[in-house]
Amino acid sequence: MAIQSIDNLVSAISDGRSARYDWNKITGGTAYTAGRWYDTAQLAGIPVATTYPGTTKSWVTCDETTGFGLPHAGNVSTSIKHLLNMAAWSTAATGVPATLMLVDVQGYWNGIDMNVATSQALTGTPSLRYANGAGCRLFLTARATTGATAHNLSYSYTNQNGTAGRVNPVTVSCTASAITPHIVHSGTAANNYGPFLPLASGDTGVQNVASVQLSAASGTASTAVLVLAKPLAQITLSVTGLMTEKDLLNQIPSLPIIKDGACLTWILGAGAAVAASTTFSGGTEFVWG
Amino acid sequence: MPIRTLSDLNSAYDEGRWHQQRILKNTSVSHSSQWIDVTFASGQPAYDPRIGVSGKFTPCVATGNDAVWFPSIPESQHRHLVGITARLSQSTYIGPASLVVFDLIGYYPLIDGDSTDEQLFDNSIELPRYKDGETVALVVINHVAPAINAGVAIIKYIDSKDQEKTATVSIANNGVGTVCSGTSSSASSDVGPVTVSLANGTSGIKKILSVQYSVPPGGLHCFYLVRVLTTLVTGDNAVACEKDMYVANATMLPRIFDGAWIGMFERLPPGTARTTTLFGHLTFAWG
Repeated sequence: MAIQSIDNLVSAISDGRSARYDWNKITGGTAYTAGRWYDTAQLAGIPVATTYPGTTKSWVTCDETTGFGLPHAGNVSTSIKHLLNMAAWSTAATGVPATLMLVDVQGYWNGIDMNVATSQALTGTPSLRYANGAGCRLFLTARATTGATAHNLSYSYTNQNGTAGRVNPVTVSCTASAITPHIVHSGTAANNYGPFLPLASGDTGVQNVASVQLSAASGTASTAVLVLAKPLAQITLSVTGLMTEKDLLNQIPSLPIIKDGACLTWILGAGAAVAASTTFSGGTEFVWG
Repeated sequence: MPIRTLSDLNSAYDEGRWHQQRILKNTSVSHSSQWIDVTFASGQPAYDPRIGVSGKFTPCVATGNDAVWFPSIPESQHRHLVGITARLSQSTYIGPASLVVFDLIGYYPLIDGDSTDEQLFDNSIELPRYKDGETVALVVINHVAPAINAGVAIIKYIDSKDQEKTATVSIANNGVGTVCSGTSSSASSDVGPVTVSLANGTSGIKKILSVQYSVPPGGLHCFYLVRVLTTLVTGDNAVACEKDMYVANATMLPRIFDGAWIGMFERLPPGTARTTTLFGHLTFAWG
């Protein structure tokens, strides 16, 4: 039975229909910049880092078994699983302030060439956990440091209504010399947007992506990964070593649903410069009924 | 379907009808006991000195990320501000700060603070939003060149009921990038409220007709017409403060019209003047 009351929730916890999983990520050897977002799935720790393997520019579906997502106790259908609460902290002063956003990675296209200015066709048909891709958003994260030449990003996608040929509604600038795992279009420069790529007017999600194109080659052989993910919840970090908790029974969005097979990862918004090798840790609790 | 209930709001999240926009403003002007406009700091949204043709109403319609960005939505839907999170870091922490989030509808730039002549304003362009002026407030900013004295301004305006009114208020001398709206009619050093105290019975301002400084403050001023959207009190230094409108604003979700030019005023409590940096995000949902 779906959890629709406090009684249901207490019963679910009493009956053991809950799980807790902790995580730990450490940033790489290069400092992060304030105002930018970073993909922690590529960072060492628990869960393990991913290199986003697969055939270049071909869709790869992700689920809980893919390996780099946070465990959440497997499939529970016909019950419905919820994110009950979460906590996070950083052990270093250089890790705050920051925002952590939990996303369900549907999959990705790897091998986006950041050193060509021609259109790059993406192949494959995404299999999504969210009907029609509603709420699913895109971000492009660097796999290797990109070149120093300024470049904008354009893209053509299919929206939640199945309409193909939708394109970016505004100019989207990428950061030159973006490091791994920078979400390259996020930052504080003009025409930076983040953490997600802006969608055309009225669009609320993405089903598929046909192509991406840079306005100029970045100048250095490098690749990036275009990730399609559903944002679920977020938590803010303020004080070094102090755990921040978020109770999603009483806060909004209310008890986000965790789909069977969800591939849960964090993206990190840096509010200040984050020193190299800064640790972020936390815990997540799930309940189902 | 418009967002009217918690269920509607959760549906908006589930169905992707929401957007979160990060803000990061770098070192502000030094201030204490004063309101400042955070636009006068670099970061995102970008620095904007609010210049233009002197005395001409300059409408503000956001495009791209010149202000806090949010997506376009179908005409039949309503967009709301559903949450705000903000952290302030102070160069010398003394106390919590206050934030006022506003929609800048437009402004009259480059008003000469040295002149004692009546300066007539050009209202050939009407308000792009809140067209009748109801709930629209006036904020005076010292911009571009610093004022050198506190002054007194006689402001003639048309209110939201199309009545001409006059307000005589002090203009504080708080420095470039700061708010100098006043309350009294003497040239004291009032730090004042964030908005100008207008004549009795005014519930909004539609246009400003003229201003005349009976005591000139010097410098250049900019007259903003704003619609206050919400307020937030930040906590300890760098601590994130979250305001979820549904939970903490009596379920009222401020409506955000297309083109809204969203900015923030910030006030520090008394103490040594100090700079701040601001980091946070605004969350929008629509339906």
